[in-house]
Amino acid sequence: MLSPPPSPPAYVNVQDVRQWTNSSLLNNRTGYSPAGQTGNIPSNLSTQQVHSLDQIEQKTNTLIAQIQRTIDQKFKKLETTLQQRLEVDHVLFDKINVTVLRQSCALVARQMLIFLPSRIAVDVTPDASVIYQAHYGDLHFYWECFFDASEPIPYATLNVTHNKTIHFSKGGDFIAIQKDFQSIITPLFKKVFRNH
Amino acid sequence: MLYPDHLLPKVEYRLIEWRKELCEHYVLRSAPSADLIDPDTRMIRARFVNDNGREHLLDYSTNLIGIFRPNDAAIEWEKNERKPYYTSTWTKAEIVEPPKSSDFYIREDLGYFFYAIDMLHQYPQPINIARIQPHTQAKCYVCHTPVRANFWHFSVRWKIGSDDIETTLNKNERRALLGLVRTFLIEHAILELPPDKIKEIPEIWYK
Repeated sequence: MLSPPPSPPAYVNVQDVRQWTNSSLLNNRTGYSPAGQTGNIPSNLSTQQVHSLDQIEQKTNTLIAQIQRTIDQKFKKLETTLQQRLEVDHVLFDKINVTVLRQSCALVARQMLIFLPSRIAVDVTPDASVIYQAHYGDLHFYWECFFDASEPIPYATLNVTHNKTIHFSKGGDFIAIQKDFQSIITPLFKKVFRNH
Repeated sequence: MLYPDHLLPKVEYRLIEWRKELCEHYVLRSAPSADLIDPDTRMIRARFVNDNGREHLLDYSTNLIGIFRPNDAAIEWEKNERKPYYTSTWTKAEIVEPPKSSDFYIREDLGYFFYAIDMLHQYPQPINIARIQPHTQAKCYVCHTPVRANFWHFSVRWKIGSDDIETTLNKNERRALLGLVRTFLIEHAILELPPDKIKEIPEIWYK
């Protein structure tokens, strides 16, 4: 048997990702587009001149409603895809508590969607896991939940890549991974919107 | 239909040893469907990168592109008593009985994608295992693992130190590594390989 080729060391550090404040990572490629830029929200909603507080409020409400509609549509699409995949691979998930599966997956989908990804997808794997993939600009988040009949809370993994390099990789119970996801994405998201 | 002769190991062949020149080459991974791309992400569907699940962490089956051609990935073995013979490891100087037309068929729904050996070779990606602090690396390496019906079969394997991950990691650690590896394989899958990227395999490597 051949011996492994030599490889340089490469370590991950949670702080590497959390300290990223360069807005270009997410710039212009989230699902939401600030004024005048391309994206899910029609630019005329934010570029038209407004002359009163009432007009501002009206425009804001319209925008919020539209963002909510976009999130709901994407959520529904993810749920449909997941349902189809689960039906095809039902043998893998036969012994799994459906409520736990549904609830966990819905939470992942909603958490990823509220940060307005430019792309989002769901798939199931032969390891009885469900994997969500969301793109926020050049950052790709992979959140995978492993289901096991003996585990009341699913085990989950979170992997974050930038330019094909994995910058964050961690496994833990679902709640811990959910906290990790938020701690990474929230500051980046705030930074992007402060810059516009 | 005759089995492609260029896939069969010849008695004068030998194992292709690891060499840095392999980094200029690509391996092909076949998939059970041509519907490989997730339209939502425009990347390969997660379920196809390792469609046999975590056992692929031990041995991820690929084929060295060059003499092996993408269309060869369409060959599928009939589930008969001869299948284990053809899909088992070939040993040096062994004479292989060519498969009969009844041993295999050509799959119509064919999917495949590629990995640059250089990219796989540059693994490890890190893995954070609390039990084995501060950091333990899951190393990936590519090695030649010819089988009787396909001399160009290569394996991609992940190890912790010199041990297989199945013996080193507990259940959750294996899942953590699996999530990492799946991410890596999705990100680095090459869906279309330009013809000029397919290089000849020098005879001196295997004769």
